[in-house]
Amino acid sequence: MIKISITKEIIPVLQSDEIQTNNGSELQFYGRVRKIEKGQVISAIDYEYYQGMAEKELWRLGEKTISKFSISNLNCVHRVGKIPVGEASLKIVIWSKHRRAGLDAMEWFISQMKQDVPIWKNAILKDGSRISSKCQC
Amino acid sequence: MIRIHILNFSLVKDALGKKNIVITMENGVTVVQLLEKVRAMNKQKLDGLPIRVAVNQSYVNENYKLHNEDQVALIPPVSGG
Repeated sequence: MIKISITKEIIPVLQSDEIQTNNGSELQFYGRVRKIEKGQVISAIDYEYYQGMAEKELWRLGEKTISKFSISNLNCVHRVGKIPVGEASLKIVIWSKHRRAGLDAMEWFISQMKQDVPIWKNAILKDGSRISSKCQC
Repeated sequence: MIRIHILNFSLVKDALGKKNIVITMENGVTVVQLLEKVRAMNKQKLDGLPIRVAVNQSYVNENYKLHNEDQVALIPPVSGG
């Protein structure tokens, strides 16, 4: 099963979403906004996205990940808009019978997401000025 | 002639100063020809910037032939996560 969403709301952390009694491995990954971006202190990141295509690409990647690795479920929530330092921008949960498949799937899904899903970071500095991301990072 | 609706994102949007552009081009125009035209709008900022193209929300290659009223997204390197 795959669940994909893009939200402008706060992503709740440290909660297990479901009871998966057939799976011995539950991996939760959170991407959080760092205080330092490209050597500069920032106050937030404003995430821009291509509405419609971003969801579509995440879903396509979810399907590819489930077919490539022995995992049962993949949930992904990406937050967009202005996200303050320290808050979560991304949450991914993967369930599998054994940890190896889940760990490999997590790494692959995130790497692919950073190549294909049309979402962009704009760092907001303390003085309010913005820096657009110029690389895949 | 065909009409193409262009959506600009991130660095492309910054370079062109607009989120949306509508342009008219010859029938049979390809993605590579469209990109040449767009890059000419701000050579200083767009030359050398990798740009992927999505038509109607799916990635296409540079030989893809555009159609009337296509929605074309210009996608510079992404940075989600």
